[in-house]
Amino acid sequence: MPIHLGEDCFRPGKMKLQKLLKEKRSSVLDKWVDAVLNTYSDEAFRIFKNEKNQFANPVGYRVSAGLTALYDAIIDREIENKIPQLFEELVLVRAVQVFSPSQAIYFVFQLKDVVRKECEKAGLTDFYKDLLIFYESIDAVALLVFDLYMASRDRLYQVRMKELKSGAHIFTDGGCPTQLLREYRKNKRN
Amino acid sequence: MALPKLEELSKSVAKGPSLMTGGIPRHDWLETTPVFKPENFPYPTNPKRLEYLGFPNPRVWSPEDEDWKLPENWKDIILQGFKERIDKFRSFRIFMDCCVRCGACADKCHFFLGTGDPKNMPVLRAELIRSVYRNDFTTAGKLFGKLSGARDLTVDVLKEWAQYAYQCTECRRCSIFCPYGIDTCEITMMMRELLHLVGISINWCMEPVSNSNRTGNHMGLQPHTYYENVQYLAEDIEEITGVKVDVPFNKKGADILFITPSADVFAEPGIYTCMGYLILFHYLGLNYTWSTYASEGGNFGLFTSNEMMKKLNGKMYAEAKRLGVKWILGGECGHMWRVVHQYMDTMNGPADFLEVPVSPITGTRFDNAASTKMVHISEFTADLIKNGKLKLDPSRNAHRIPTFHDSCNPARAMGLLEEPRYILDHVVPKWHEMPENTIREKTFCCGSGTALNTDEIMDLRMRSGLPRANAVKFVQDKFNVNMLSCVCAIDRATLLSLVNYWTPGVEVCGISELVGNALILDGEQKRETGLRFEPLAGMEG
Repeated sequence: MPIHLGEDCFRPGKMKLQKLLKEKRSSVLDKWVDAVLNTYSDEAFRIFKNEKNQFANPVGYRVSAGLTALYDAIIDREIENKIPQLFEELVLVRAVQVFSPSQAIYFVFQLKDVVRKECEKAGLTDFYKDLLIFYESIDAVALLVFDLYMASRDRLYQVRMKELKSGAHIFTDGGCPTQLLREYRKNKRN
Repeated sequence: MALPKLEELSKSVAKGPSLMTGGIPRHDWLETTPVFKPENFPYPTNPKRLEYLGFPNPRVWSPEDEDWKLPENWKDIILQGFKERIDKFRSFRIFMDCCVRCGACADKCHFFLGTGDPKNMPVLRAELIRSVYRNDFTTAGKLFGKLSGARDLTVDVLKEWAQYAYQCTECRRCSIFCPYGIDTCEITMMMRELLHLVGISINWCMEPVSNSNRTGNHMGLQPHTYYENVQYLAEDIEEITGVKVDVPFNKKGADILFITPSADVFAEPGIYTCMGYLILFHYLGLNYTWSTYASEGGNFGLFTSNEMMKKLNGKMYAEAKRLGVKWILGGECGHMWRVVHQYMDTMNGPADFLEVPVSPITGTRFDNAASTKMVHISEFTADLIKNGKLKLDPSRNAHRIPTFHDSCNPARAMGLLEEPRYILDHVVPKWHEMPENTIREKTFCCGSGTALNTDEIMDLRMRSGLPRANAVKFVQDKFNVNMLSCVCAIDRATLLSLVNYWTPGVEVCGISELVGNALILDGEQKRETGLRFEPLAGMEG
């Protein structure tokens, strides 16, 4: 679903904030990633934060890569045309972890907090309008994440349904496998 | 409900009890109360199954209830069982004693990597039981109590054992990183055995055990059904290849007894793997037999108790003896091979009444199976290819771009690493490896082994399978991989759900399916479809 970030949002050269977001990219991302990883246990935080090999640390990798992709897509307005795949993969992870729906997608709003603090640190005091516009764009992204989260949950239910329909439940629920195989072969030919 | 403040929201997961596992602790881990919710623990065993098997304390109960209806003297039973096991199994006592908590295993478990729950670190999962060991069986624990990491066995501690013993797939990835070689899988096995003593078990495990005990296989298929199902697959082969294949059953005096997981005979996509076996055996003119009695390679006894494992393993050898075969050929099963390679010899073996396996086609003597007398189908097939005995047309698999998932047990418990790869090299035009730290001995589990492949815990399965899926995603993106091949029936069943969630577009198959597709039979018709009735490359129209 393409989203619209608003007319004034991130128009090149117009916002002080956009300049700041570009300049402070690595610092903002670092803090944002930390904030999101902090939603896991302390022990997990240490490992998810420090292990850099993406295959030894899939959650840490997907958080970091997903947020980076999202951040760049917002700044460059790319997200209006295309949702970054890495970001979708992050939502897939959050959707099956031990979070309530609000906790799972809260990470989007955490960017507001990180950016506001970064602005204060940089001495930007007359930026409230910029910040409001930026917040609006985050809200738009949050709606998008809501859709992605539900799509992930829906996919999970489909997976569960498909497994049930495949007859694997016969393992435990009785029934006649031969009858199922007969039906299956019949369907396969049709 | 008051709206939470922003700061609280970000902290609430880490600091509060978690919604699904209840596992991320608010307090010191020794004092946490486990929380059970729907979908975070598999359904308990149907009491009828326990009664049938003669297991203790059959009853209707729910993990969500406060009262688990344990026997009054449950604590004595557990501690007595504990003592018996540390006296009987030297490895168990050593594993309880020798861990120095170095943490080498901490980030190696797929359950921890997917959940972030510290109690899924193998070291901490083992501490759940080790703390009780210290308390009741060591001097330091008796003298210093909590200071030495000891704690009393309470109902909550027991519940926590149950929660985490069923969040471990006994895959043994952690054990290859442990400097002491502690096999955390065996610790989980002991936890599950102890839980069985007071009637705590899961249905997805015990129903297959009960079925295997009754009709010989997980599905409870009766002999005529089992026979009929394999015949159906032979009919499909005839339709696809134009060649009628024989399916010998219960044939006395055959050279070889063939045993495979019953899922290969019934469940998709295992049935295509089974068709691959049938095509290969027909091609070779092998003097072999199927059995309706030894109709299951899988052995859920491994996930239950050593006695049950021994009993279920015993039927394979009893049948080999009854039929008078020379040796046993095993299909693409996972944990069957762990039982055979690591435990069978001291349980039911050595199988002296059988011969050291020799391939009747190539003359190769399989000395690696000198004691168990059981050869893996991939070893058998790779040897045939090596000796130039198979006419293969890899282009018939051109519509497949596979990667290979090392199934945990064949890889880590029997060292089957090269043979499936060698076969792939010859039956498909191209295939691609996943990253180095996710394959071979370091392979990541499918996340649903040890009877955790049940749909009521689908969220958990997706979390624990993430490390495997993450590597599949990588090769899907990089090389357009569209097939995840493996040599394990549980994999074939569970990886399918895993890829459907994480990497749609990827399918799952056994290696023998690809062999069956590529093998050129005498007198065959022009093949237009693969074994799934899917059009071959160039035949899509």
